Formats: sequence, structure tokens, C-alpha cells
Amino acid sequence: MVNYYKYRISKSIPTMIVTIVFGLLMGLSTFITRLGGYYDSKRFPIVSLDAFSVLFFIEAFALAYLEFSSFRNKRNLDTWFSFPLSREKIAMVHMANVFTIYAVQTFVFSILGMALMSLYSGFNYLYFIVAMFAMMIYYFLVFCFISATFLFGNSVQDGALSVIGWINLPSAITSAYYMILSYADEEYYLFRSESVSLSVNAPINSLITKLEYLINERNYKAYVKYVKAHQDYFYDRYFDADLSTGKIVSICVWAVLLIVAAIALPKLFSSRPTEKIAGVSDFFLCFDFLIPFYTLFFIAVTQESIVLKLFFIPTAYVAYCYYRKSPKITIKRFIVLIVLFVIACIPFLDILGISNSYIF
Amino acid sequence: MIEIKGLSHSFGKHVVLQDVDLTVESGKVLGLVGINGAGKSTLFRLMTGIYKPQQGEVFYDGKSPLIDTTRQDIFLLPDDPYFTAQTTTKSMFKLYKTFYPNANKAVYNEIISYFGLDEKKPLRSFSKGMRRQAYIAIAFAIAPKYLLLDEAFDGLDPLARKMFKERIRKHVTENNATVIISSHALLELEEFCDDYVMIDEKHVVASGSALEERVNMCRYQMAFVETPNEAMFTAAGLKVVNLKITGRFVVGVFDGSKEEVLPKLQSLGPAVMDEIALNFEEAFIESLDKRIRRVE
Repeated sequence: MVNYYKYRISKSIPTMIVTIVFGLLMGLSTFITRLGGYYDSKRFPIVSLDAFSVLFFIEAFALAYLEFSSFRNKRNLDTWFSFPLSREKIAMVHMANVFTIYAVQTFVFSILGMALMSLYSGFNYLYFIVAMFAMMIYYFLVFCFISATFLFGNSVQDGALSVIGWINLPSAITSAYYMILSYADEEYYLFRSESVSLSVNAPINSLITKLEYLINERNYKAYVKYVKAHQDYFYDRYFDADLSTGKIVSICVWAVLLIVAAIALPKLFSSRPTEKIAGVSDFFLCFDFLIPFYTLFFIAVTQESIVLKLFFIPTAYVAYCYYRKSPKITIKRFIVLIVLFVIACIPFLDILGISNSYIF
Repeated sequence: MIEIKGLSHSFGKHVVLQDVDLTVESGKVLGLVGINGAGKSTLFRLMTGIYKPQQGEVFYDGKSPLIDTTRQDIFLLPDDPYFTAQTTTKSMFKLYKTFYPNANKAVYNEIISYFGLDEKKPLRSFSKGMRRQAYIAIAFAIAPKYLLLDEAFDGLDPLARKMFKERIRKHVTENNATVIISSHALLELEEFCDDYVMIDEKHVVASGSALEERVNMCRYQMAFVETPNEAMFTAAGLKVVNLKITGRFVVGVFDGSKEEVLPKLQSLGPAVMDEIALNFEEAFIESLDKRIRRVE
């Protein structure tokens, strides 16, 4: 296991260099922007934090792909799974490899941050170190979540669809909900822009953060406000220079989730039957659910354009055939699809007594 | 010793193997044959823990291959082994060395040199046979107690096959190793393996000489005074499976028992006639052909 870990690390050096460069670029831009003054940075935004958060999501997905995609290819499995190392240990090595990448990236990022901070006075270095550590475990948690979602699919395509579909699902539901709400009632008009923001920034507001927040406060209006604040969550707080109880609790929640993920992910990896790899997804919540759901979502959010609406149906059928690996849809499957489509409609239904006529 | 007890496996509703029982003694080379899709590769995957058996068990000296330490003694050379676009023979050895710490670099280099493979070139630039040669080098460098070779001779040239067989024999003799080879090169298996089994209709249907025994066919070579033709054999009531006529000499395989065929051949008045044993390939084809015709 140790030998394989060393092997993986040696093979991951190019990836590590890319992530370090990416981390440094983000660090440089962020710190220069922030240290230049918050208001100035708003006036002259050197970088978009939204964009960087999206890139971090992409980084997590890229790492999940690099670490696990070779196990979604049937041809490779004869070799990998006949090696004298259990599947759980193989998964653990791959996770440890990514954790190392994140650790190195965060370390270099932190050195840069500390160096820049030393030019000014009044910063709380302890807070900064804890924040960096928190950021590392947060992103590793995102990686575990993405990897788990990816591994539910039987193929790379299934995995990618699940990752993108499931990461965006809460935002998709919320934004569609606000969109409908704002069109239905002028009082909620302002939510329209928020719903667009939610769609665009979906990866920032990952499921984990949403859950963490929504558990505490089931208030959608507050949620929208939170979304605004959250975009600068990691970066602006360096200036707060204190370790409040709330932050400590957040870090603890992430740490606990991380431990759960670290135990669950190898088990998930080893539990998927080898026979099913590269076959059609048998995971109910993969393409069977996601394609009807997002078809409905896109129809709901493109309210002005009937042409676009009409475009989504054949596109969805093509996507469905691609994932089904056949253009044929049996009557049984057609019925299942209709049922799934109806289930996918539920989040868009008129739960507050407001018209949902814009959906159809 | 390898013991397989009541092994069954299905893909959905499609049953591939059912109640397979097999014992392979140490120090033996076993040939595994069967038509495409018979379940040879599935059996190998079940034997190496790639697939978890739905029913039944596999043991290597009493230990399950699902335990990773057991697999330290097992090496599967798949039909289509893993490599990436960047994999070279050198990097491939490095990967296998992490899992098999005792892999012998000197043996590996010796075989790579013998085949004339460039260790810096990526495997994707090699022909199928050359890639096979690289994996053969890995197999002998690891020198496992149990060597499982799927489609072993596929893509190898005659010289490479010769070297491969010599190495296998040496490995078995020196290490009391057990080798199982699946291949469609039946004549090659027959001359090389100590024993062989056939998988058909989800079961191990015949093992070793039992295959020949279950085949109702015989083979004769004959010489005639006058030049013979195929029509005279069919006119004599013989069911010709295969007939090779070279001038006045004939080698023929005929359907039926010796008791049925011999009098009919004698009625044709050959100057000389001898019975020759059926080879494995003929027995294999006949056995499957009869089964398929029966199904039809």
C-alpha cells in the first residue's frame, strides 16, 4: 500500500505542479485584490472569486476523474483488481494522493499569503492558519463528494453526468423556484436576478454548504442573502481576525463529514460490481432521473424563448439514447420515464398556491 | 493446488457458468478451451477475485483469491491488459513492482532484450504481439506460483511462442508452479499442456482424454492403387468429416465408431490402412458441432 502510494505520488507530480500554479495564481490575485483594499477591489476587480470557486470545483472534478476514471473502464479492471491490493486500499491510496495534492497546494498558497500579510500589521496569523486548514479539508470534502457521485456511475459519462447533475441540483431547484415565483408575483420580482445568480454560481454553493446552512435555518430569503455573503466566505474573513464559535463549529462539521467520507468512499469504490462497469447505468438517480429533471429545469428557466424550449425535448431524447446506449425505448421504460418526469416536476410544482403555468 | 467448487456466475439473467468444479494439481500446465463467449475469461476473473463469485468458491492451497495476500501468488495476464498512452515497458515494470515487490528486474530485462523491445517507447506504439511480449516479460519477472494466461498465444510469432512455452515449462519445473492457459490454438495446447478442460454450456464438460472419449469419430490414413476421390467414400456410406487426398494417399476423419467405419473403408480396398488418433482440435470441433446441431 505504501509502495503504491509512493508510485501514485510520483505519477502525480505534473498534476501537483499544475494545482500549485493554480493555487498561487489564485492566492496572488486574491491577496493583492484584498490587500489593495476591499472597496478598491470591488471597483477594480482583478479576479472574480466566483470564477475561482468554479475553478476549484473543476479542480476537484478533474482530480476525481484522474484518480478514478481508469476504474470505470472495463479493460483496465482485469489488471487493477487482480493486483494483490484490496479495492478499499486502492481507493484509500488514491484519496491519500489527492489529499497530499491539496495539502501541498494549500501549504504553498499559505506561505504566499503569510508573506504578503507580513507586509501589513494587524492580521491574526492563527486565524489564517486555521482558515487555510479549514479550506483544505473543505475542498477535500468536495473532492470526496464529487468522487462518490462519480463512482455511482458505471462509466465515465455516467459519473460526469451525476457529478454535474447532483452538484447543481439544489441550485437548480431553488433557482427554478425563484424564477417561477418572480414571474408569478411582482412582489418577488427581485428574486429573478437571484435565481440567475444561483444558476450561474451553482458550483460555489455546493450541496455540502447548502445542507450545513439549511439545517440551521429553513428560510429561503435568508438563504439568498447567505448566498451573496458566501461568495467571499473564505477570503474576506481574514480581516475579521477572530475565531468565533460559529467558524469552529463549521470546521468541525466539515471534519466530521470528511471522516465519514474517508470511510465511506473506499467502501463505495469496492462495493460496485466489476461486471457492471462500462455498462448502462443501473443507478436510479443517474440519467434516468437527471435527464428528465434538467429538461424540465431548462424549460422552466428559458421562459422567453419557445424555440429553446422546443429544442430541449429532442436534445433530451438524444442524451437519453446516448446514456441508454440504444435509441429504442420499450413501453415499460417509457412508463418509467413518464413517472420519473412527473417526479422531476415535483420541485417545480405550485407548492405555495402560485401559478406554475410558466413551466409548460 | 487450485480447487474450484460449485462456481456459478451470471450477468443479469444470462448464466455464464454453473456449478463448475475443477481441481488443478500443483506443477501442472492446464489448457482451458471453449468457443468465444463460453466463459473462459469470466472463469479467470472469478479465479483472481476480479469478480466476486455469486455462488461457489475458489481456493489456492486453501486460501481465497478475494484475500489480497493470496493474490500475491497469482498473476493474471488478461487478454487486453491495462496501459495508458504514456506507459512504456520501463514504467510498466515500475507499476507492477509496487504490487509485486519480488519482481525480478534482471529477468524482465533479459526477456525484453530477447524480444528486442525498446523500453523507452510507449506500449501504444507496439503491435499487439509486442505488447504481449512485454507482459510475458512481466509475468516471468514476477514468477508467481499460479500463472493464469488468457488467450496466451494471441498475436505472438512462432519464435516468441517457442520461447514462451520453454519459459513456462522451466517455471513450472523449477517452482512447482501451476499454469492455466486459455487459447484457441488447440494443437499448440495439445502438444504443450499436461491436461486440458473444455467449457461449454456453462459447465466444464470435458477434462483431458475424456474429451476424445466422448467424441464418436475416427481417423484413418490410407494408400490406394488407383487414385481415389471423395465420391467413393460417400458412396460407401461413410460420413466424411474431413478428407485430404494427395495423389493416391488419403487422410480422412469419419463420423461413427471404429466398428462402424472400418468395414466400410475396407470395402474400398485400400492397399494400406492405419488408424491415427484424433487430435484435440478435431475432438473439440466435433464435440461442439454435435452439441450445436443438437440444439438446432
